[in-house]
Amino acid sequence: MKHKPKESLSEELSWYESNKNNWLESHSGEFVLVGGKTTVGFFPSYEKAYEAGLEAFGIGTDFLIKQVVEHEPVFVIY
Amino acid sequence: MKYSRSYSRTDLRRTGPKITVTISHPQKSIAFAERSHVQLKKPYTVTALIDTGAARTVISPELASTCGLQQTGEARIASAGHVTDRPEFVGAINFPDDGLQGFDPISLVACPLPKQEVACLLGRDVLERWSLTYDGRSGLVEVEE
Repeated sequence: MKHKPKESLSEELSWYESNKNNWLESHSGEFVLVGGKTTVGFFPSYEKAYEAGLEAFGIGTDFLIKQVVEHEPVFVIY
Repeated sequence: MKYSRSYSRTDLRRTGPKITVTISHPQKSIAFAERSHVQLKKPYTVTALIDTGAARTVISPELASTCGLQQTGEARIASAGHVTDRPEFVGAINFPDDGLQGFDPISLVACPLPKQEVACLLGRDVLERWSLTYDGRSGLVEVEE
């Protein structure tokens, strides 16, 4: 298949950062699905957001799934 | 289901508990591709380390590329004294030799695994669904679902 990766989802991550404070008020803890500068919706789990992303964008385009949290977690790999 | 494997004490200390895993696209992506007549890259079977020291399940960037996984984000990873943002992919993990239930879908972080004999670290996001017994004296490692 011809896969079209974007530059590390930079557009979607910028969109997330610019909207995060508003989303924290009403969607804290939920998973937001973003493609380009379009917010597709908010979902209770990563799995549900992935299913919605698949329907919205298919498998040829990357899309962002991100949990709406105030402080970004740092995952330690020892 | 129960996974049980005996190691020599030396092997267990040197390399840790390993398990064979198959990394692939999630079933729903495969079904979507079939409906759309799109060809996806094939699953790839590698050796994984059961790693209680990893907060997330990690695959090597080469493995993510080999499997053609779809990126869904970035994760901030602290490793070896550095904090870096690494790409996250949606995938599936299955255990072809052991009959353990797979994880589909699962978010996988791509991170270099230098000087390791494995291409995947099964982290605590997987381990939170298992009961893991590590008996260093006998060399027995068991997983119960």
